[in-house]
Amino acid sequence: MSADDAMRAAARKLAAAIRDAEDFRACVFAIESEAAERYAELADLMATHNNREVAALFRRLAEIEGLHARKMLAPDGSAPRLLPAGIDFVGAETVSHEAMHYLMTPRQALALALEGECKAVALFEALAEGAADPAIRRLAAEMAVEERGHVALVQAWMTKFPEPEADWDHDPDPPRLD
Amino acid sequence: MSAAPAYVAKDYKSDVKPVWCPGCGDFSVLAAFGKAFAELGLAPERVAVISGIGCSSRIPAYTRTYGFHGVHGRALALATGLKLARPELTVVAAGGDGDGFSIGGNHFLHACRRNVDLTYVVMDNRVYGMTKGQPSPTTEPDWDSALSPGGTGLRPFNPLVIALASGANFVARAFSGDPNACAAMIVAAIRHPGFSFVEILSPCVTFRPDQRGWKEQVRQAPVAATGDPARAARRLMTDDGFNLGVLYQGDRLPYRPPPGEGARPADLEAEFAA
Amino acid sequence: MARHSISLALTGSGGAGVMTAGNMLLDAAAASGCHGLMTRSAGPQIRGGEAAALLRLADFPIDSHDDRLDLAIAVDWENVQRFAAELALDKQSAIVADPAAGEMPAAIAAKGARLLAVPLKQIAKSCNGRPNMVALGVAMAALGLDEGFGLKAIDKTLEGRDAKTIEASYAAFRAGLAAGAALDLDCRLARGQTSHPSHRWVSSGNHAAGLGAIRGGIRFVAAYPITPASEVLEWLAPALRRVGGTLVQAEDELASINMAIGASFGGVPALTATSGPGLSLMLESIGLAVASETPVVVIDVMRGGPSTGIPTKSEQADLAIAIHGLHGDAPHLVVAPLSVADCLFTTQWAVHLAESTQAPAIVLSDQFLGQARAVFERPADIAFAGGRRIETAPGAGYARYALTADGVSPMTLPGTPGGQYTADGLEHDARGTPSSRADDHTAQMAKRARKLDGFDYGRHWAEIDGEGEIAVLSWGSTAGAVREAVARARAQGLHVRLITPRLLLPIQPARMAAALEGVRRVLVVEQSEGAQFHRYLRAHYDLPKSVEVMARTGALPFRPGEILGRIAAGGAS
Repeated sequence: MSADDAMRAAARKLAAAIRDAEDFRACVFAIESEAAERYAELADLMATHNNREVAALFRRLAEIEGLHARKMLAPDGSAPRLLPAGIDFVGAETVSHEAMHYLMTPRQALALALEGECKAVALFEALAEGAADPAIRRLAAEMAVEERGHVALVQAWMTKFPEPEADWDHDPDPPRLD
Repeated sequence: MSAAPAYVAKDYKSDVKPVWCPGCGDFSVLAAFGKAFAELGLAPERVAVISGIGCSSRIPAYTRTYGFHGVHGRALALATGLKLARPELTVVAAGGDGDGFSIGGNHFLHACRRNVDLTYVVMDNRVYGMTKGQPSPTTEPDWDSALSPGGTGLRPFNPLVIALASGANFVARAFSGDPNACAAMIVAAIRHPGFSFVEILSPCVTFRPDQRGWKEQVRQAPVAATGDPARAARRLMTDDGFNLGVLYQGDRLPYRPPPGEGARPADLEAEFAA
Repeated sequence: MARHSISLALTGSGGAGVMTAGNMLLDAAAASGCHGLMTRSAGPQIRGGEAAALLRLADFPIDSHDDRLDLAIAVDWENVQRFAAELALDKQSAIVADPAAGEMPAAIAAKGARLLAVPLKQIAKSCNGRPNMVALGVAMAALGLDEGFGLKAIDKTLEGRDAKTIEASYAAFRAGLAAGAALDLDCRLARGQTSHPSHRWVSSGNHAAGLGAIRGGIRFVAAYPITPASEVLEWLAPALRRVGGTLVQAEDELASINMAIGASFGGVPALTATSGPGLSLMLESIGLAVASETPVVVIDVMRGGPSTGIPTKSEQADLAIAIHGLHGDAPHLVVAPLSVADCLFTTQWAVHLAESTQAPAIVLSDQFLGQARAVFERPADIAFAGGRRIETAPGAGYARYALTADGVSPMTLPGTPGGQYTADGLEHDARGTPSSRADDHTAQMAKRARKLDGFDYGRHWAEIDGEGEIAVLSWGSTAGAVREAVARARAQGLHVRLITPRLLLPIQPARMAAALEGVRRVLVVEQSEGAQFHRYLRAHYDLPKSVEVMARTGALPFRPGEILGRIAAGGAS
């Protein structure tokens, strides 16, 4: 199953499970929160492996995703209602642990972030087409626009960093021995 | 409207920072543990994660449950002792392929046949990572390494075959690249009574960078779980190691020690009297 | 003339039932108020091998065999030369043998004992009984024990069998009594310090250790079968079930020790029992119990080594591995029972020490203590104060391995909210987080040593008795023969001190120095060809200038007389 197929399948499931705008808000909140948590984990991971530059970048991405999540909070600051049971939306915008490398460059890190934003665009576009409720379709379309904005931002951000050199992953020291 | 979940995945994460290499599949397994425990609504203090030695065996320290990071190869023995002494706890043993199938191989056989209500998660990356890239029992015979130049020439150990043949009550395979499926698999394994074995293909990007390609090789097995060991065995004959899903779900009753008889230690003295 | 101690052997092979007869004789003697001890010598066969039941009965407490045998009753002579060396017959001894069994083997004949012929098989046949019951009757008559105790012993042994079998056994036993009464045997047992039989117990050290474990609170046992420790486990299996505990037969010793550690981590006091080969396999994980501070008790019923060695013979040669076998600096406990009866106390104490200090304790029993059956006074009920320090309401800053003054850190048990931690064999900080920092390693090492060094072991650390410039130092089962040798030496007017440590690790330099105060000459007695106990004493304690060592393998147990000889010889010089 390709990544796009997977996203369309996830969108179909979401479309079936989301009953109203409140459910939608809860989903977006969960997606953005998970992405934020993962970026924080990756920032820790890179800090542990002394890649400070990428650690700082992931930390910044975590803050940004956190902001997105908080936009879904009610005016009184309370979190959206809980998700309907059985929704397996997770990972829509989350960067995979498997894609990490301890010597990775900021440009590579941003490329992963870009992938995440693109996944989110695909999800909301699919939802904007597939949801039965016109209100949900409208909300999803709005989110797709917002996520496209994020894609553009990340792309612009990437230009500030050079392409990695050919031997970016070369490490003259062997791995630790214990 | 569903009831508020008692716990979320984050409740099971400790503040100890993993030392795993970036890109390691074990991160996803750790995340899957949290999701699975939350899904099951388990209080963190009612869960124990038990391990031996190896990269993946570091996992207990990264969870906020009780944990035991023992010696190499003995996770299942520690877990068995704990579960038999404290049957009300949820006990999960975890580790790698070297720990579980080589130095701990005998315990694997006997844990399967003893069928204590445990879940055993093996993060299989077909290599000894912590000792710098030596072949493990599941390594391909032609994988070249410093310790076995040109490859071991040995047929790899097939964990699912051994688990099934030894009497495990639940036998499954998952892939770390799909943490949600991993979590769902761990949930199913913990729910299933008796000894549940889950092999999670978890790439070692440092010593086996080729395993980054696993995500293209794995596939959901085209058939559902069976309760018939013979059918499961036949499926394994054509298995290339990349079919994911639950292979076998048996209905053997878990091993439980018989209940006590309520005697006091002093009651045991009669037989000593002259 | 009645004697205070009588030693006898019952020999026979394949199906002769001499071990059963020996056990019945010991039971009958105990019921009639005597003290006693029985060991066995046997061939390697699983069934049908040659065997000898070696008994000593006395009217005072005994913990060892005597120097010689007064009587041997041979149902047959099959392969008896294999343990001829263990049959201490001499010209004053009597041998009752069945003439139908053929010529007395040369190795036995050479000892010069008086031979008395009794047709055991023929007598048995005439009453449809068995020769071993006839032999039991002969022995009871020789000792002057009442018939009724013999009949009771038959009832107990044959419980559940049909009336015809029991009647035949009665008849054979009575015929044996009559045959024995007709013999001219000087083996009548005196009745001196006999106490009321209701206070008497008959048990092997292995069973006594099992009861000690349960009294101490052990409720989980995992073990792998091994001679000569299996009886500990076989006794514990039903006993634990009765009191609500669990015994698991593990797949190997590596699993046994780890299952025990796992159970103890869960808060259930746990034990495993093994012998030398198993202890060797367990060492790595005993180190895990040290590092993770998980209490666990390991009983090592020592046998002849190295390697597979002699599973059926005693030896005290696992001392070095018990003390030094763990890699790294790994403070732990090593204790040793000093008699069959003491297997109960010492095991119970070991549980208390392990639980109180959150450390592994190795109990060094041996084949002699473990498999000998002895008659002894019912051991007193002892309730040790203290036990495992458990944190039931951990605060926010709970640290499993907190650096406390006495080194013992309160532990939480799984199930306790907020107390979650990971027990680890990796070095760790106070919270249990793996650490390779120098300060963490230094602090945790010091804490693990402190909690054992600072513990108050009290008077139980050793059995010390007597005054004088001569001291005999011994340990474990050998203490029995030494105790008797010292008593005899005192009866001869010698001033001899007896020092037998029960606690071998951690070492007790101040206490040992006090025990040795004024001693000018030391005799060390041990069953280790390599003199492991002597080396241990030399390494850790200040001994006087004059030190003599009696150290040999466990193939032949020490006799009180030879130790007395060494005490007296040195004392005269």
